Amino acid sequence: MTGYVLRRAGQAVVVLLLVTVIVFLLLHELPGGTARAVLGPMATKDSIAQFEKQHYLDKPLPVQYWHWLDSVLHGDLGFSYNQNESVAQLLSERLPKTVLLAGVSVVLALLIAIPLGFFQALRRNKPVDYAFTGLTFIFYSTPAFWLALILITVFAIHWQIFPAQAPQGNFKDIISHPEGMVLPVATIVLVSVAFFSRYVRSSTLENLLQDYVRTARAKGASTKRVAYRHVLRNALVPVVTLAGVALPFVFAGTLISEEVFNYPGMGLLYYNAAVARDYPVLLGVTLVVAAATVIGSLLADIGYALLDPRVRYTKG
Amino acid sequence: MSLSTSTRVATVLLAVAATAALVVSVAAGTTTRPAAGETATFALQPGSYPSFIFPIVDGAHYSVSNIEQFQRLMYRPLYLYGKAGKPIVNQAASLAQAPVYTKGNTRVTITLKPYKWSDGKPVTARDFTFLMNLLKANKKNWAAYLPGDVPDNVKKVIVSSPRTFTLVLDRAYSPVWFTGNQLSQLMPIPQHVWDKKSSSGPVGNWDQTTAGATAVYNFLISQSKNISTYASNPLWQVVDGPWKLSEFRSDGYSKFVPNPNYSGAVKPKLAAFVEQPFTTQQAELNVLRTGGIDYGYLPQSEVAQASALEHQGYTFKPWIQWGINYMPVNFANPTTGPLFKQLYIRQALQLTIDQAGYVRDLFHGYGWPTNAPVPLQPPNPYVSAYTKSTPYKYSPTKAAALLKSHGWTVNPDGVSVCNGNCGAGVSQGTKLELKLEYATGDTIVSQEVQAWKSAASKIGVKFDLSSGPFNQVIADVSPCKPGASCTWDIGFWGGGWLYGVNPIPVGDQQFLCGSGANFGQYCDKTNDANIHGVQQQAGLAPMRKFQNYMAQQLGVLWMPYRPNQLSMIKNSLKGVVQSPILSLTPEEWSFSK
Repeated sequence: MTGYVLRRAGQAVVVLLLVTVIVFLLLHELPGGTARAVLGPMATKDSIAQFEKQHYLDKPLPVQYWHWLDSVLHGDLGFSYNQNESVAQLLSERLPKTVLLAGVSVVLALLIAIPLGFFQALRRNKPVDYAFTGLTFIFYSTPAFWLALILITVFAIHWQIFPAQAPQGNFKDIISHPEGMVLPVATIVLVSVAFFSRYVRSSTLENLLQDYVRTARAKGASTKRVAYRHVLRNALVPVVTLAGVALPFVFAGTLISEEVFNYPGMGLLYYNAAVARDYPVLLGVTLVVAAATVIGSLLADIGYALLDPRVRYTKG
Repeated sequence: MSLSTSTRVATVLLAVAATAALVVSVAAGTTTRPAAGETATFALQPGSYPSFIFPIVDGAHYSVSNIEQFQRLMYRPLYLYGKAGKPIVNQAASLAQAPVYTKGNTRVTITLKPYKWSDGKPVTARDFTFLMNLLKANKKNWAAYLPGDVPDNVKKVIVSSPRTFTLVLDRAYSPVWFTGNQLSQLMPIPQHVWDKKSSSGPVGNWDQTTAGATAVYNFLISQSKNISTYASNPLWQVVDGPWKLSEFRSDGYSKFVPNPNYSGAVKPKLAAFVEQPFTTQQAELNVLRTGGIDYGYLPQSEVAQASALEHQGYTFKPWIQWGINYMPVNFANPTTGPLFKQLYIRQALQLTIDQAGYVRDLFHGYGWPTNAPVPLQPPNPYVSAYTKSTPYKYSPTKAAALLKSHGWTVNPDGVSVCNGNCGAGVSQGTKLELKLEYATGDTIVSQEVQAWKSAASKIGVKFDLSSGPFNQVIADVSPCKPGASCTWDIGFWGGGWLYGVNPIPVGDQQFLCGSGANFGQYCDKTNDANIHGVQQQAGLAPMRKFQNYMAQQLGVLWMPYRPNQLSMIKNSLKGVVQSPILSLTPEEWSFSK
């Protein structure tokens, strides 16, 4: 297992490098000039030339990339063109917020989706199965933006139970006002439950038909034991994989909550940087998200091995 | 198989998980609401938040949110513009007494009012010369710098008393222009605190050499890049404006408290003033509907909600801004440039733009036409009668006639073709097919473009539309070297041009030959002479001559302009006068009981 992890870590570094090269090239293929985009319509020719010189934009692409990579290797992710803050500082402020929002949302969604999907599979094609399927699909098919506005209208404006915006300030401020996170989290949870529960349901159904279930029953295992000790454990394997590689999806999914609930996190940071052509921020966020995805994938594989005795990485 | 036990367990698990969010909220207690009463909360526009405190602003941070709505609260310029909703000097809120021009307007003498810095030291002429020295040594880093303008045009500063100094200029200038677009950009800065080269180094007179001024500037810029210390760094705590920063977050959240030593006539009455950033206009509207903002805004598409919010205790008040809206056309495009060089083509295009209709139907009535570089709104002393008359009112019929009279075969809903002598560089067979790139993100801009496309098709002008984010559009339609890569035809970023930091609408940045923001590279010697006339000749007659010529010549295509925002102001918040320069003066605000 150790060899496997080390090998995967080495591959991860290569993948990360490739990702940054591709993103770097794609970013610089965008039409128009970066300096004008950053400096705005009032920029003079002199200020544009100075900006390009200051940020190596007047150099060939390989030189620009090497300068960026060299800085990263020395622990410097760069300085945002227009936010007047280092990329590392921006990430340190925004990343915990998104991790909190996405993490709580995914955990809650799984806590609901796993028993729900499992329960539906055990009660398949019964009225209760149809009812839950219908309910979850209503939320799944509802645009997150619209769902968020409904939650705000009902719970913040009409009933005044929760705030209309997420807690403002740093991570500590947010933790001290968790009530402000209820609606942003609820929005993501409601649209995510169906996504996960469908996997659990179908995976459970698939396992219920497997030979090992019949064998267990033949050996006298109780229904409860078969369901919880055998079927549930096997049914969770694809969900673990799914959760592991779903990080980019989750980051993207938080963008809606960040926009509607005034919660400046990583999704919004990336979106605004893309619009403003803030390359240092774009590359910094890409690096972090790519790293998180690779690590998530690695953790999913390890989890897969732990959950499924047939999958052991003894070599290769 | 019997599943009664498993079903019960699953149901319990489901119930526990489903109520988790509620448990969290119950454990947390009551909801948080912005404080009311003595703290006024002002909602910032999305993507528009302060991030630069040092008054010598660089290009990437040259914005209303950094200058007019942030720095001006702490550092007052010699002359602050925006008074009673008009783009004129606010002498009472300015740091200096009215300037005195002498020797044929080649000298200007300025006397500072007896202001004090927040640490009790007086504001003196030395603070002004400190600024000038830093500007001279680092002018290329100052976003407001234009070659030939301040500080280039100030040959010498003669200090005659601690509060009086005279600027010796390199030639005669219009007092209106020099005060409005030069002196209004200059603000004394605290030499006795800032004239140092490092945090631990001593304060000296380092600025008096070029090398020293550069070192001081570099030190101050480095401090300004550490935004997490804005509210704690002793440098930024010495101010001469009515407000001091007490809290600042990197997302732009700013909390100001009164400067107890503020020397101005109008002292702050609020206990604090907060600028609250928002990720989107929808997020702001959500909070506004809960009453969590004292001074917010309605997205233009949500104007129908104004009456509902008025019932909740808000006053609806469009915030008119001092600016113009237009679309540059690319005179340097080797293919279509010859078309744009024909005045009749520009006139025909302008005649298909229904400014009044866009204001009525798309802006819900909250807007006004642009006819020239001088705005029609708010009422101002600069605009001419000719400009007010809207020289090119919407008329596709006239536009078609104009094309026909210049050799075009007009094909409504098709493409018009040149079949005669259509002007220099326009060959027979040329078609009126043009590319139009516009900014996304604002529904109304898209609607304007679609409406114009439809109207232009009536005279056989076919637009090939493309769109992108604002920053991309202004990058794409930048001035380009004439050649194969200079391919854009018409650009529309939607935001127009705000005369904020330069309140005298002279157009030297947008319409002068070769100027940096002259996107379409319009170049007309008469126009250049007119612009220089506005800058150098006294009185308002040169301004009228300049705008009338531009209104007639159409160096760009004019589009209607909109308010900065549709403000919603709590009825209990008194004293708010919305400056067309977009500066904020919360020292004039108070809450009624």
